[in-house]
Amino acid sequence: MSRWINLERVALLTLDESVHGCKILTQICRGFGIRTIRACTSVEEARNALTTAPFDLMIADPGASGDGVELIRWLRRQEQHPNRFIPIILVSGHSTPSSVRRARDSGANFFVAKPLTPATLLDRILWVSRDRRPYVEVGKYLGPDRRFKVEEPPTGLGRRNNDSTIDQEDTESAA
Amino acid sequence: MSHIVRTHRIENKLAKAVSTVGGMTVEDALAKAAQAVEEVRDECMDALDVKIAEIDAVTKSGKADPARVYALANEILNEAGAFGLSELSEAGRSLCELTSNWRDGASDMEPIRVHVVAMKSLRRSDVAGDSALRSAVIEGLRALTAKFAASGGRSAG
Repeated sequence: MSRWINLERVALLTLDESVHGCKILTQICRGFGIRTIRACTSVEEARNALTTAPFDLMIADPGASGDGVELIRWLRRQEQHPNRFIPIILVSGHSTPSSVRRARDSGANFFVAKPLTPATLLDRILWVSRDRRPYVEVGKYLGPDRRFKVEEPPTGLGRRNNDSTIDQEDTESAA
Repeated sequence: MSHIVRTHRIENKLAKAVSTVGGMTVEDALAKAAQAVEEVRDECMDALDVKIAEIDAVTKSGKADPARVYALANEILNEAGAFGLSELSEAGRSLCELTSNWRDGASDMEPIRVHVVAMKSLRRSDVAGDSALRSAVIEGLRALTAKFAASGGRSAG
């Protein structure tokens, strides 16, 4: 039996500095039934859009310059921002080891290699919609907890003697 | 060294948006997405030719900006691949590999020109329709890029 999905109510922001790359991404998402799409072709345009409307999902190509990664880092650090913790899927073509590290540390929820195929992109969108990982803020990193298998602190009798980690848990609801 | 860890448990708004009734089957969504991409095929094919022509022009000028060539090659990788032009996409990837090794200042126009010739040939119908020829073109580019990478981006002689 086929699985049913409904993305009609998803408000999506896309960022791709290539006009045609942006069109391809947008067309795929329209095909999925997403009606509200803000398609941006520059980091500044995306930053402005993020400050003026709430979104449920962002799909961004960090671009050859990697400025898109900085946008994500900026967004994750905006206290009280309604879009601060929206799921973000990074989509990127050619990558170098340093660009992969930067993407991994950006705070995005998932990384998808281009060229895009509808099947892969839809699979990742549905994956992030099911993602229940908390966001963690430690050092310079603020993003989803990267421990996929252990999503909760271990139960036990207390801290190890040499563990000076201090947990400060905030329970927040999306704006 | 101690780290302060703050944990934020956030309601996933996307989950709520996706969980509404109605919509379509996954198969229908994929078919509609593929159809929607086809709607922009012609303009994207034209754009690919423009990008190849731009790389050609800057290499002929002898003043290619590696960052610009890299960006164009990356777009060719991404956009050709989205339409199933796997070899043209791979040619873009090969040029990305080549120019990403250039950022230390080394720059030789000749391997870029070879990539441009290969990309133009892959856009020709006689080559595009011959899978053996397409594979041979890509194998040649990979060997060329590997040779230049091994030589530190300078003329491999």
